Amino acid sequence: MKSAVRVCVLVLCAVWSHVHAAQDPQPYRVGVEDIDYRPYQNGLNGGFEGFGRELLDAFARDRGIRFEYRPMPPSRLLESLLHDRIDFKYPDDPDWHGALRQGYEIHYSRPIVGYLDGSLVPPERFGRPAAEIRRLGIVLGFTPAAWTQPIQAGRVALMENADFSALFQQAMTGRVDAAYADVRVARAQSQRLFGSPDLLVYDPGLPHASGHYRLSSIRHAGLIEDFDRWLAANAALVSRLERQAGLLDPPGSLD
Amino acid sequence: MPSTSSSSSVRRVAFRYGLTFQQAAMTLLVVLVLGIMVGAGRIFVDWRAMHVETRSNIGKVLALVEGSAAEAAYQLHPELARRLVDGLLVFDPVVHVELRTDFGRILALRAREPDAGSIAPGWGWLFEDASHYRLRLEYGVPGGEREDVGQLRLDLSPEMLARRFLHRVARDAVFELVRSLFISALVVAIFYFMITRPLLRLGRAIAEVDPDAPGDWLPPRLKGHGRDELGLLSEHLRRLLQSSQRGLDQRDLAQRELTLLNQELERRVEARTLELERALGDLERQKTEVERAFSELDLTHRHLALANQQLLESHRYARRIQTSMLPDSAVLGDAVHEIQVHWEPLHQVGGDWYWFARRGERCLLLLADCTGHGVPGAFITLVVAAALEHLLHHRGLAAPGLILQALDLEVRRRLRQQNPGAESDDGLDAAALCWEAGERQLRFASVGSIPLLAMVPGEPIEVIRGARGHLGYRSLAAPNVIAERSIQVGPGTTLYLMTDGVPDQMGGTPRRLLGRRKVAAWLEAHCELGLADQVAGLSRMLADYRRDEARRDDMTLIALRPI
Repeated sequence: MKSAVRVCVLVLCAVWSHVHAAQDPQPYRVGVEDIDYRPYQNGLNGGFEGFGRELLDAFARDRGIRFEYRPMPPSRLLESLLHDRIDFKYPDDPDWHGALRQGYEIHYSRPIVGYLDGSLVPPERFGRPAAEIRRLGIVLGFTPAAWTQPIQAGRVALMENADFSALFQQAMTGRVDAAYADVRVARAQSQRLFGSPDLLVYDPGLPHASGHYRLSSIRHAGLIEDFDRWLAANAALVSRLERQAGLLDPPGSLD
Repeated sequence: MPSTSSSSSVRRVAFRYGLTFQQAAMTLLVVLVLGIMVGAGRIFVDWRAMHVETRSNIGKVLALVEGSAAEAAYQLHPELARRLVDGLLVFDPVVHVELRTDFGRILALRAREPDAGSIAPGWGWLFEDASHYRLRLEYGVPGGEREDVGQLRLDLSPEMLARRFLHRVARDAVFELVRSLFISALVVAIFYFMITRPLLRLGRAIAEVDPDAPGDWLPPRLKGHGRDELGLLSEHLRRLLQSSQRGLDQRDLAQRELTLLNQELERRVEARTLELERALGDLERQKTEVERAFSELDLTHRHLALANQQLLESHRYARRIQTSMLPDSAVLGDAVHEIQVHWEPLHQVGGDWYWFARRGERCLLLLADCTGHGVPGAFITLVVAAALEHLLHHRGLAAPGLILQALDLEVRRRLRQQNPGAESDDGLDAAALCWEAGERQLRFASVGSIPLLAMVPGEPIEVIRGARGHLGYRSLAAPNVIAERSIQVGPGTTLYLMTDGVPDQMGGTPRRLLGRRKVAAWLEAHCELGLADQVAGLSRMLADYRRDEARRDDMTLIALRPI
């Protein structure tokens, strides 16, 4: 009698697990940056929040799929995508680490939100010529695309820092001549870390680069195309989310 | 005894055969061998220790840089990785450092060739197994999990490690050799001053001992050795030589005494030899006399043998005569149905005698056992035969009792026994059986030890005894009346007459006389046999009963079946 009861319980458990699995499909792994990169997103301490999260979650809800976010150093994101350890990378841009992408067929979504990577200097050094920049600071994992040629020519030395706090300290103490980062993010970090958004100011006279964040994938080209369609169909929602995050403001301003 | 000068017996020992050299060589050899053995063990231990030490040190270094290496690998930080790799290259034996990410990308790599002067080519195998290290790098990602983020590879130059090791070994070997030489020299010096030199002095002093007067030897003065073994050896040697001197003195004394004793013994031997020569002369004479006595004894034996032979021939002739005197049973003719006689004197002749006679229908059977056996008994039988011949032919007696009574008187008369002074006191036992041919009735009379045994088939044997007493004999009175017994016989009835020599057989176990009862029992048991077989079987039974016992008397058995 006991054996029959045990068999029934096991069968019920198996059926429940099967039904539950059918209702809860395998999530897609989305690699995100494990840094505080507000106002775009915040991936510190294993979480992921901000504009990027809200946008992707909205798409997933619409499509009945599930995203599992995996924060990791920005430098590992592309390698993880290329080695099939994640299904999607966000954010991404075809111009970042172009050499590494050679030989891989990566599918990119349409542009989601624009960014401006610029050179930030202490206010007293604003307007100096680019030739005076010998040491350029950057957060580890980012690519100073605008400074590629002087760096390769050896005129500029690249100094990588673990986070924005270290980068700002280096720039303010003069150990680096300029910091290269997203302008919106740099202002927000300055405000949060030091109580003032303008400890470092964006110098448009120095090399800078602009572009758009995209969602990329190697294995799920169809879902990327669907995401593009969703973006087009939900432009209003996207704009609302951008507005809520403050991404519609000019890069140099701070709400 | 010629004396040898002490100086001629001393010879110098070549240095290479000397104790000093041998001590030095042996000490050096032992120390070197021990040093090599211990050194080999120490080299092995050092080699193992260097393995352990190298692994331990590299392990500590890798543990020290593990966090930074994992951070560089996780962050994919080439600059950090380069600095870390450069830092590891400060260690001389490190020839290759490589930090590889979990994506397979080499973040940093440095390799170098060691200096030719800092390696030991061909010895790298000593540390090949301690030269290569791989450190798997893990990084704690948010959420608490540890993620494999890459690998740090570090290679050492085994030839460089080997050179360090060999350099250490060579240094230790040099120290060991120097130490061995020093110890050997020290030991040899100590032995020389403490043992060898005093021994040499003692040896030279011993060489100066006068063999004829060892007791005069004075031991050398061994300074500083008065109480040690060398001093004791010198003292013992002195005592030994003094004891030897005493022994020599005692030997000389004993030799003198022995010479005197030998002279005394030679005198005694000469005297004893003279005595022995005299004794030998006496023995020779006695031997001659004994040989002469033996010759006489042999002659006597030959005479005795001749006499014995003559006596035996005489007896054999007498037996022939006595045998020819015995009657043939055929004289009875048809008066008996069957008759068998067994006559066996103890010697060639005997005192048993029997007689058969038939005159008309009257028949007589007489059996006599005369005094003694051998020749005397035979002579008596001659007297009895002559007497019975006289009684039967001249007096015509037909009754057995009368015949026996008349035989008594006739024997007494012929041996002159009526005279009290007669020399003969001999006689006989006798039994007589008379019957008429064809009659079934027989008359029997007996005097002495000859009974009549009557056996009817199917019935117990009947023993009919005679009258007491004997016939003849000067010392006995003649029997007054000799009773007769009438016996009725039927077909198959067997009658036996036997002298006492038949039952008086000594033998058996326990040893005893056979007896008439056992003879009668044997006859009853074999009654179905014919008389010849009975007599022959009884004779074998008697012989078996006697075994090795000698017969004691003449024996005669007469068996007859009248009808």
